[in-house]
Amino acid sequence: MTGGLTRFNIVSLVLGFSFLYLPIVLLVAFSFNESRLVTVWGGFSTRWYGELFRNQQMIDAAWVTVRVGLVSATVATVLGTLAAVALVRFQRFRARMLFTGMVYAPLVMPEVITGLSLLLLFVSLDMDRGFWTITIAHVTLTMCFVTVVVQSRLLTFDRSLEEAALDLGATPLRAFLSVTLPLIAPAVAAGWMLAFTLSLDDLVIASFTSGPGATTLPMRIYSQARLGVSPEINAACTILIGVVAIAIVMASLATKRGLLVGRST
Amino acid sequence: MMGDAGAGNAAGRGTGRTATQAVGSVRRSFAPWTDPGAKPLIRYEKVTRRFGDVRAVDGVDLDIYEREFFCLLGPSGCGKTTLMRMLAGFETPTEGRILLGGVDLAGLPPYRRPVNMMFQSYALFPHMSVEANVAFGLKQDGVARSEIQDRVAAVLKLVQLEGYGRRRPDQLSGGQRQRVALARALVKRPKVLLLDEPLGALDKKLREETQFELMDLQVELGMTFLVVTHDQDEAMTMADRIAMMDRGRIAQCGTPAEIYETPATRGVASFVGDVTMFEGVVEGRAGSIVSVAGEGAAPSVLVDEAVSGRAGAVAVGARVAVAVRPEKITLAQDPPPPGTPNVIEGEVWDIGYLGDWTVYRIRLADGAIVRVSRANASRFVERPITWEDRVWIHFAPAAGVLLAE
Repeated sequence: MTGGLTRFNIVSLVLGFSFLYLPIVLLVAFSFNESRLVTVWGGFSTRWYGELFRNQQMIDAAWVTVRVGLVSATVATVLGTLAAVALVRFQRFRARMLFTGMVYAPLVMPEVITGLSLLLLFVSLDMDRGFWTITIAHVTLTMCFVTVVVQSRLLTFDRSLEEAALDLGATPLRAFLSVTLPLIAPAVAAGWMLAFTLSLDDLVIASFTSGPGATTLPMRIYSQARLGVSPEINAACTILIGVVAIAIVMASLATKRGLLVGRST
Repeated sequence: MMGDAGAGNAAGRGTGRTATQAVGSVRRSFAPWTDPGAKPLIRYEKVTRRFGDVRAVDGVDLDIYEREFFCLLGPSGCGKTTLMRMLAGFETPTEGRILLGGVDLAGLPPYRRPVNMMFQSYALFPHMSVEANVAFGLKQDGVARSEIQDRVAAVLKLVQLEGYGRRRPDQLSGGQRQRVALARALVKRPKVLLLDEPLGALDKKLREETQFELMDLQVELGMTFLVVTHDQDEAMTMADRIAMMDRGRIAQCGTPAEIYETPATRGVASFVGDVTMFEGVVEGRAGSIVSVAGEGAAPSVLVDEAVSGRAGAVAVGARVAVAVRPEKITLAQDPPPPGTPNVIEGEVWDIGYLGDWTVYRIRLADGAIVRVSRANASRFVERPITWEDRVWIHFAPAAGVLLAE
């Protein structure tokens, strides 16, 4: 194996990455377009970003999205971490395989189905649809992602660290809080960030479970785009991409640091 | 309950190294297991631990006494670690019970047991400093902050890690980490200190030094040590008594000398030290001397069964083995005088020079290989033994041990 790139490698890289990123690059580029026409370049300008921040509907939607993201990611992280600990720790617990499968199922469940079933649940419980129903729905969506991230960290976690804490007189709860949790914290943080990002860009489940007065940013963008794409939407999307990208990079950095901490025993 | 008092003043006694000599002489006459009135500190009663169909520990009865340095020795998978983990509370006996100071430990979780364990991987908390690691156990007990500081400082001094308190475990060498793990387990002054392969991760030189340090420390603190190891040299060096385990059972329990000189089974004989087995059938006995006839070209040998204290255990006609240690066999270049017992002729097959010892592998007429070792006490040898030499080996009847099965 040589480290150098052959012409074949370069061509495949270019093809692969342009397929992935050309649409996004175009969108970001046109968000800085002076012209009102989406497909005609009229020179560089940040005009549409200014317009965007004067659009009260957009600002409201962004605020709803951030609040839903913060609350749902936090709740999902707590629940997902507890589920991961239970699944990894209790190895002799009978239905473990079944439970593991059930936690992972929402990962591959079509969002339309998740959204529809949650809608039916909220209707039958006679809940007013709005901020809280979206938040609960997003917890359902993102919890399993947190579980997957935390579980993979726990599998490489040296069990004798917890045993040492118990041996030294810590109750199981204190052993978890003072030894396990600090050591898996990077994975938990990564899980939180992943949950936050997923909540941020979810459209399908939010549309099913939202009500009047609670419109998320993706919903707002989608409904405006149906009336015609404006450079303002491009600007909103660019900001969203930026936030998500930062969150993902931070999540992967946290995971990497977590692996290093785990290895230093 | 004497253990508390002994450990209590020991943690504050960092200068105890000079006292070791005096305590060491007391240790020589230390043999509570021979006193029928002595009460064991730890008692395993018919303890069995099953994992599915596997009996990891199988009906173990064992008494360990206060201030004893006790080793569980055996190959991996023999159940020694499970036996120890049941005392710490990480495993539950399927059958039987474990008593500590006369109290049944059943149902007591690990965090309520007055024992502490030093883990094989050391299990130091990587996100805490050395001080915080050592203080962890005391904090759980709600010890006052000033007392924690004093006790942590004293125990770090005891393991010669003064000035390392602020470091993180990953800034320490392997030997230093081992000491931190030891300090963390010692600081709570447990009734029993459990050590799981305590020296396994150290290199050979450091391991030997640390063995003697652990022994000194144990005498100094007057604490009961229970060590799990697969290294026979380690067990022989450190232990007052050794329990040799094999497939979940205790094959033999005794002092290192008993285990080495009079092994009870073939398994013990071959796991601890080198040995040659002369196989055969019991032909007859005269007093305590048993004659064992080899089959075919195999040599016949005489063995004194009184040596093992198991006289009369083997019937005439039974298949047995006579185990002889290599250093108890004499190697001669000329035929020994007539009347010498157990003389066997052979050929030098291999020579291994180890510096202090030379190991000879002698091939007998039936093709069997006998290991003979000789101390290289003298620098000049007139007629050195070399490959393919014709030699005679012989050993006293009392040198062998008769093993049934």
